[in-house]
Amino acid sequence: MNIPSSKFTFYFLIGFVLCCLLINNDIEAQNFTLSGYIKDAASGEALPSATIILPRKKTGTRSNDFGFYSITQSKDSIYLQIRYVGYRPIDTIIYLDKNLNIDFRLEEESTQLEEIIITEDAGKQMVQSSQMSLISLPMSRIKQIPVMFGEADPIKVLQLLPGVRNNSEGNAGFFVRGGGADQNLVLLDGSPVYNASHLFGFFSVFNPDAVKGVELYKGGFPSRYGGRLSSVLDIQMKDGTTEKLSVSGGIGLIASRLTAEGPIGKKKKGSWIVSGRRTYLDAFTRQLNTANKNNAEWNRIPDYYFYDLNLKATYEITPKDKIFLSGYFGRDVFGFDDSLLDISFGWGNAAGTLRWNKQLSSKLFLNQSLTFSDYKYDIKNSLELFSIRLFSGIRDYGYKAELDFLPSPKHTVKAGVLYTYHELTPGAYEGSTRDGGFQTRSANKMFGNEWGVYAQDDWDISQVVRLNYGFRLSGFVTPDTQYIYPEPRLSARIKVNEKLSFKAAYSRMAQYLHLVSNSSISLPTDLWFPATNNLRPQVGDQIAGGFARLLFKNKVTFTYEAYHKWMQNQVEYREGAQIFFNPNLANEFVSGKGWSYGNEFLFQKTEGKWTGWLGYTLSWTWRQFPQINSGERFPARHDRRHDIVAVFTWNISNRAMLSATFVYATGNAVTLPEGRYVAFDQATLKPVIVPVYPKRNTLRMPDYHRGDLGFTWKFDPRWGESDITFSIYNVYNRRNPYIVFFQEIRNEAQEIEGFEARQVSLFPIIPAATWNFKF
Amino acid sequence: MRLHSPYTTNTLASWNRLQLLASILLLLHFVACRNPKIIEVKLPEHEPLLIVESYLEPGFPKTVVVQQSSGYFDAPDILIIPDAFVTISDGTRIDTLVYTPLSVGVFSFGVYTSLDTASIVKPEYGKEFTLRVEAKLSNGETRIATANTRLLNPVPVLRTQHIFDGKPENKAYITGYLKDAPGEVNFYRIIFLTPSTSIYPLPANQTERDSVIEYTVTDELFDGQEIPFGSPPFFEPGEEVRIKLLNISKEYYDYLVSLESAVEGNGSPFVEPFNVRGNIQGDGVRGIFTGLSYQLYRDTVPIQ
Repeated sequence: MNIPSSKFTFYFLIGFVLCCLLINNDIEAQNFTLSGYIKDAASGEALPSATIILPRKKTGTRSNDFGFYSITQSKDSIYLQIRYVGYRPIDTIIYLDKNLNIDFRLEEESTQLEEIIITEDAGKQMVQSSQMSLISLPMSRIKQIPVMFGEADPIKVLQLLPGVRNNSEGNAGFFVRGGGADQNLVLLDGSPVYNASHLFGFFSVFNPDAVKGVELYKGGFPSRYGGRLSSVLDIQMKDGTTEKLSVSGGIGLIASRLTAEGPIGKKKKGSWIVSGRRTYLDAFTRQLNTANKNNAEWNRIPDYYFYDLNLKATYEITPKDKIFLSGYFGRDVFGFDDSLLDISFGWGNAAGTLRWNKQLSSKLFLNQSLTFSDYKYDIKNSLELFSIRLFSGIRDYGYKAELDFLPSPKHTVKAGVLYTYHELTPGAYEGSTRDGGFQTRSANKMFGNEWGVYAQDDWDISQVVRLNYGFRLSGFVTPDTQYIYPEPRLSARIKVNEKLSFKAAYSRMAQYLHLVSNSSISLPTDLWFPATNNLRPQVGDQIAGGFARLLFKNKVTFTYEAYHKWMQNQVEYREGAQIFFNPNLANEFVSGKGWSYGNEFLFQKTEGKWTGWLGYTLSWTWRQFPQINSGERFPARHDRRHDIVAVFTWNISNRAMLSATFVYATGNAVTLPEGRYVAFDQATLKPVIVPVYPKRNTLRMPDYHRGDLGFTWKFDPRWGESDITFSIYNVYNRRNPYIVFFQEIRNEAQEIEGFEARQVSLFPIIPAATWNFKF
Repeated sequence: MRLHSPYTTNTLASWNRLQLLASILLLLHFVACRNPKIIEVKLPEHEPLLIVESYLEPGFPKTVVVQQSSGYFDAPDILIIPDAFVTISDGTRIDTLVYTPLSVGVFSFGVYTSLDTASIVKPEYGKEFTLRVEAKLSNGETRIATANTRLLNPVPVLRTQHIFDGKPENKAYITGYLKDAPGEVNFYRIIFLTPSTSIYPLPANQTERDSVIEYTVTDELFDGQEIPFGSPPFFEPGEEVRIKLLNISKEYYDYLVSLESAVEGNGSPFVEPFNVRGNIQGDGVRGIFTGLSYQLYRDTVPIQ
């Protein structure tokens, strides 16, 4: 049992109640409330985080995750500006003499490929907001960035922003501000996704056609989020259109996508969307294998494919009650069968959310959801005499209730409770001989009950000071132990003028699940393991500070943030750990600490025909474990001293758009042999060259850099919309390092003449084309 | 617990393999991988280590291989130390071993041994031996290595079976069983040798056919049971196979496992590299001192 800082918790709660009393003082009897939803004009999709500005009152608010907004003002005519990145703005005047319910419908800009007019306000929003360390990207923006094989991918685009890194070429696993790959809470419509990668990390599981937009919090976490130390990636699926049946899709180099959406019922009170994606290289590789069936030198290519299926339905039971049902199902399937080996390997996620939004009043909005998430992998290997199965997984059942209280434009209050039941099967196995003479099995299940309560308020104290303060109390209960952690959160903004604001944030996060990995790349077999009596939860503290500044007539936004993060109870495998076939896996873990610090510089130009960003990160990431590296600190694999990213988009005309990306990063920290000797091995008399390694991760891979180009041409067919996107990944064919290894140079007599270092690179120049359509 | 049955070894090896194959599938220009680019890597100066391997194999002279480690890109020859002071004691008798050069394949080792027949290792199971090596390295530093070990009781192979894979070359799997002692944690090393590989020393022009199949296994899943072990489909009808079933200490087992990881860690993204762990004590020293207790099992693959 661990209940630290209970005194602090008590005083914080008292403080919070007092603040809420202050909030009530803002509410006057003559006030009226304007509330409703901000929606996409064409599809009826709700637009989250849209801004509603009252310039004359010098105040404003944002729509919540479901597009709901609420503004309370005294009886007056109010001038409103509705803004959402990528959409045409709405400016309007409304006479508020009673409580009003009005939905605003914004028209999307990107469908016209015109310059994005509204985006000036994106910069203003950055100056205005108390939230720092937040990246918000609509899908329309993500699709503009050239990516590998032409497959638009939200996570790959996020990796192009300061503070967010991949760990190797093409990998969709990501590391935020020095945190581990498991420290990212990935939410798909509120359901956690435990392995967001396909094909060992080369693609993320997020089908671009089914995603509305993404938000990534790198720090300054609002109290509503918890359970991971380093980031929250909140991905919202499209709701589907309420207008008319629509079909869209794309045909690409390695995968194709198809999405259908439409209204429910004649009154169009609901919508549905079904979106699928599948790779199809296996169709070709099977034919190649069949054609070379009698070719002894042919190396059989394994069958591999992945698919995703996203489903969502929404229905408006009453104007104030809306239900959502969303689901995701995706699998990777790998099969290989030759003379030595018959192996099948499958892994994938399933996630589902049943949500009920209820507008309790014009100021109160209740969101309740039931969530389900399942991740598992299963490897089956059959040989003549023996068959083996390795499997592992995690399954969650959750309930969440959140209340939005919007008493006045000065306050946005959120409070909620959540509970998740975790069921884990870490490192299970089965094995048996064909004759049944030997059988072994271990499938120990582990359980955990995770809970949290929280409250937060975004408080516009004055024109200058804005505060987002909150508190979260979270806990984890297992049959053997329980943990409780208070998690205070605080973000503050001081606005010097309309062009400059300073921000600072502190947040504490607790994480009750560990992902333990033994490799330098994200693998589906990395194990999720719960906190136990001996394995304490991860706890992280992060402070961040910086400023946002508008430059060049507000056309460019410059943000600078510095951060320092401390991470306790980090977990790794001990040296020489047995990962597979181990009924006592917990004995293989060691605990230590980590810390990271860095500076992030980001210039963004969001207005005009040229848009894009230039980012630079200078950072350090350390780990220290008493039982690893002789107890000395070592840089994490993903420690990068310098990281530069440039992204440019040029809207040439209504039909044509050109985009370019450049990435430069210090090489990954790596452990390479520094010395060697030859082991004699009297039992076999097969000498082997044995590497001698220096301290962990003391060497660096060669630097990484790459340029990509993309070009989109939009057609104007009678039947709907259509475009073709050409992309060139790694345009100057840089051979970036993926693996570096040392090997001997042998002559014809097999005598060793010397040693050399070799570098394996993965992706050379890759041109791709994707045709997208919608009707 | 560590299980390295032939099947799991295969599984894990193929596991690595299939991940690479997955990459091949996608990476249409995988030429780069087939011909990795030579690059220049500047390594920090290597602080040499004293490396000691010593084996007590009943019926054979005591053997101590002494060398020093070299920088990875230094000259390829093994850095032999011919003037070390090497002793092995069994509590009553102390043998001072003398330097003898020995070639195994393309490698030239410096081996310390004794030609005195009285010093040949006797099957005195349970008896403790102490090793001491004092050697001066090329950097002028003197290192002292010490270690203790015991000979464990050999464990017999109970029986074998042969199953042919039915493929055109009709290779045979050999599966065997050993009887594990109950109530204690045991470790085994299983080695399949064909006659050419069992001849000491190994011929210089070793071919793939002469490959030794070897792996380690613990009894944690099978305490006190008959433990199955086996080979991949490797052996030809009529072929004579010798099975060395070594009953090994935990130290030697850990050494073998760490040796495998150290070798795999050079270039595999799936393994975290770390150094070999053995039972040789001392500053700047590394290696193993172990008994090799086994009963050689002679097996002949039947002709179908």
